[in-house]
Amino acid sequence: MDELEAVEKLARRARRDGPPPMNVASAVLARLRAARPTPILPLAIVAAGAAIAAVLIVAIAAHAWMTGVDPQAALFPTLEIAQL
Amino acid sequence: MAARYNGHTVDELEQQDIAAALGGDEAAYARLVARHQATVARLAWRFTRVPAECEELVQQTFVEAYFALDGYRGDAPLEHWLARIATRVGYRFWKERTRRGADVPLGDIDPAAPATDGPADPDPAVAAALVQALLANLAPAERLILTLLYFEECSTEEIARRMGWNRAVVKMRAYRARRRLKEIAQREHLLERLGWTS
Repeated sequence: MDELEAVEKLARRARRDGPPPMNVASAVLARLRAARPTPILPLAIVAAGAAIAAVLIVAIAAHAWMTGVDPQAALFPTLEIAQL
Repeated sequence: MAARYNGHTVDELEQQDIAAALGGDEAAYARLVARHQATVARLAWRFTRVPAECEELVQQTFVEAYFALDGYRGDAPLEHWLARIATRVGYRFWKERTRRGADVPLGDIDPAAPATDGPADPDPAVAAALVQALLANLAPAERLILTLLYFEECSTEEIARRMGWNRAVVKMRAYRARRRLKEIAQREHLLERLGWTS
């Protein structure tokens, strides 16, 4: 018997060797849940809400900027009258 | 004749579970895992003899199988399809491990451990440990080919199909791997260690 025949003989015996019993189903499901991509819908709803709020704030600010009256403006006519 | 459960053949149940799993039914996929985990574990055991690592390979196989399940065409048994994934998972594990150099040296295995079914030959677990330690000296591709030839009794055609390799390349690598394995076994004085010198 040469070395290669010895290895082949060992391998024939080794085929009877098996792993300890295992149950991986629950671990596999847990890994699948962890690996699944995060659902995009909740994020999209939050993003849309934030965008709408931002637009409203910008609109209110722009309106206030364009229509608001400077509280100091009332002083200027008084000054102008005083200079006269 | 196919076994029957509640009026369905095993194949029918399998197809139902595959379809349900594709639809997101976790319980159906858990049934598929439970049905095939022993076969996958047996193959994974050829890649590592450490139970925790073996379990990790089995888990990884079923995780990858889940995400590839819509590509399963059903023209071969699911078991064969899973074996293909498990082989690739194991091969990747070896390539990673080769980089880390984490295999058990042959010298750490006692070939004189008593056999449970005959005094002349080593116990199957010892025989497996010896062969796997010898094969660990080969490059991962050569190691894979001889592992599938010796342990799984795969043909070179089946190995080529599982790995997507050319069959002629598999045959050439198998030839080279055997020649190298013989040199390694000589260097390690395998026959003397086993007491098989005549």
